[in-house]
Amino acid sequence: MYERALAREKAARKEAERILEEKSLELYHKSEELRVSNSKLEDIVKERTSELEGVFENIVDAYVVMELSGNVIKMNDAAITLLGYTLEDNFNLLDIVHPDENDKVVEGFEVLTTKGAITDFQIKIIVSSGSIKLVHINASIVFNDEGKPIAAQGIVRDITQDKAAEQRLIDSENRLSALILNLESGILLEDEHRNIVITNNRFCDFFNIPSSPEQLIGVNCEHAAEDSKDLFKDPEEFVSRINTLTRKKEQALSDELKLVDGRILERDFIPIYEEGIYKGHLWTYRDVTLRRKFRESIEAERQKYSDIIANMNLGLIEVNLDDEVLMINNSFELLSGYTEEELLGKKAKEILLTPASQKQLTQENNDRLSGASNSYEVQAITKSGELKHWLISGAPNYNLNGKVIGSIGIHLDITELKSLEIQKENLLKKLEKSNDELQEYAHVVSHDLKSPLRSINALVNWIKDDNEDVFTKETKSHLEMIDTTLEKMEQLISDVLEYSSVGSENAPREKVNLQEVLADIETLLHCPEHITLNIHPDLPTVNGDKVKLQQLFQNLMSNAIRYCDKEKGLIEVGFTENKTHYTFTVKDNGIGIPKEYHDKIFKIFQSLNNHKDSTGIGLSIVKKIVDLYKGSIWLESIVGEGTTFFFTLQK
Amino acid sequence: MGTRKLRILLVEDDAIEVMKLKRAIAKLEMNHELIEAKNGEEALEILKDHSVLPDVLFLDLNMPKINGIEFLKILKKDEILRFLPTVMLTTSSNRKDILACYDTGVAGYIIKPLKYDHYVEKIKSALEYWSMNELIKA
Repeated sequence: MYERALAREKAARKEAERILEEKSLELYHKSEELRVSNSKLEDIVKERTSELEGVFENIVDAYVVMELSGNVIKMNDAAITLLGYTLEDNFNLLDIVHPDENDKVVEGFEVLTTKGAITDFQIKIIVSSGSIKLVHINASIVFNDEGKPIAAQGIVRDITQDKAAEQRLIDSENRLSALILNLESGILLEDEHRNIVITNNRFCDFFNIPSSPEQLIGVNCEHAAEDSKDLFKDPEEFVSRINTLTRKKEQALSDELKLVDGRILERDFIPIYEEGIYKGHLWTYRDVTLRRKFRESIEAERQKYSDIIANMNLGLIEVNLDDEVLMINNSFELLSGYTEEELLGKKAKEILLTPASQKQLTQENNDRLSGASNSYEVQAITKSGELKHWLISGAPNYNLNGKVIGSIGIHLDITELKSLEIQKENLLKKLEKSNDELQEYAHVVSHDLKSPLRSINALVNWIKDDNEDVFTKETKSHLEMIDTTLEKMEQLISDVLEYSSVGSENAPREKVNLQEVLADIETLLHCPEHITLNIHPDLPTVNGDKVKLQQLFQNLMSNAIRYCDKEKGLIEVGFTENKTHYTFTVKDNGIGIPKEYHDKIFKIFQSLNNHKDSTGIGLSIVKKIVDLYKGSIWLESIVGEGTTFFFTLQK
Repeated sequence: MGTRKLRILLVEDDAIEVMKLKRAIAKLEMNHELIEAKNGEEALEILKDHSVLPDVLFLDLNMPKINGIEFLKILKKDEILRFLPTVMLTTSSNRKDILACYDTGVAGYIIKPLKYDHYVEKIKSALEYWSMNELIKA
């Protein structure tokens, strides 16, 4: 059993040895074959590699081989140009990477080593000149014969410029779309199939479209007009116009669209052709509601003012710098008698004005050129030959640049006014003359009246003298009465003269010290013993004519003396003052004046008592003087007790 | 103090006025010589004779034809007559008249009072005044 087993084992071993022998021979052959083919392959690889090396060295892009540590071991001319380093510099690629990019480099190496290659790797580097370059790298690992990674080779492309250009393009595109998006105008660009290429916010706003401009891109507009026609006042016209435009494909600018809600849009249709081929069209919409309303209101204003100008009662004329008529209004036609046609282009002043006024106008026009507005009176002759007086108010007329281009004159016919003025002047002159004459007349009359009185007095005197012994006592008393009557007559004439003189002479107003005036009066009046005169010691100084002020006080005071019926008479002169006036008082304790005569006494020749000295003119003179000084006079009186006269004088 | 006898020329158209002055002189017992002229022309005629010129002239302001001021102006233009003292004798107290007279060169301005007695007083003073004045004899 054991032997049999041993034999079987021996036999199996032999068999195994034989098989092993066969197999090892086979392996030998195989490995021999492999060795041969391997060396062939190696040759091929080597061959290829050197072929490639030649290509790399001669390609335009930079070619760099580095050790896995980053040390550059091989580079072509393009790489030298790009990086600015040569192999002699013994530089390491990791050292020239931009500091910001370190993380990226780590990642890149990771990819390179795990996958054996990296493509489209972009990184910023700093070249020897110090400038920053953006480079694009495609790289792969180089293995040695044993298949171990020993180096990496890569093609480096400088894409700094490309990248910048690309960025600029993107920026400009962004700007453009932002611009379009936010344009004040609504924009709708359709392609030749009427699909929306671009549109903007404003367009969506204009037509209350609930989508965003981006959402609309690609939407077809074939039926858009029909869908939105109800927004417009004239929907059918809107639709048919759009159909016409898109059919004809001709540019149409500033179509006006009135919307139901009152807005007014202006629309441009611009077809786009590329090398003669229709590529679509651009719709531009602008909201001109405000502008249109503004224009309408300007138009309304303009209409209003031209209506005013046309219909106002003032003649209006517009002339250029050569005084040639550019425009006149209706009133000016009426004023001058000429029609607008007759005056247009003519020199206004030569046709309308008297020679003297022409000269004047030339001067006024020169003034106006310097930009001054002025008004002046001229004499004009109408078409029918009538002489008229015009008041002209002239103003320079400017163009939009602020340059004087002529003038506008507004004319008011003041002929009537002027003639009234002339009349008034004449009247005043006449009045002045007749006043003077009256004054003269009063003097002459008084002289002529007084002279006979003197003669009578002399004659009576002589009769008396010559017949001293013959005449009876009665006759003598009659002769006395003639004397008295003459005196009264004399006084009357003097008073009338005085009355007529008040207010006629324009004596200059001066400062008059009333204390002095009253002192003068006191000596003049010969006040009787039984009457006490009590004059305020601080009478003011007033403005006026000394003679008249004296007459004023003197008349009142002599009246007070004259009508004193008391045993002890008292006359007081006083005053009070306020801001504008002095109020003077002359108070007596005389007979008093009944109420009903308080007004009457100031009227001329109204004497209440037939007093021998009274002519009834004194108070009229007083009133006249007070009136002259714009004061007022009044009195308080109790019959039997006395009277107080009040009068005011302006300060 | 002796007073000189005056030769007085009175230019006055009113007879009673002439009488008044005459009687006043008589009453005052002055022996002045009174020459009368009814108006300006008559007075100028008298004044032509330079050998008998008056010492003083009394002149009414309101006269027919040539009035007082005009007459005075004529005198003032004359080489010789302008030295004659001329006194206005008038009832006019018109300030304008008084100013005009003094402006022309009047020697005095007497307003005739109402009462004859007062008149005599004034005339007395005036004549006394002129009779004691030194005058330029022509």
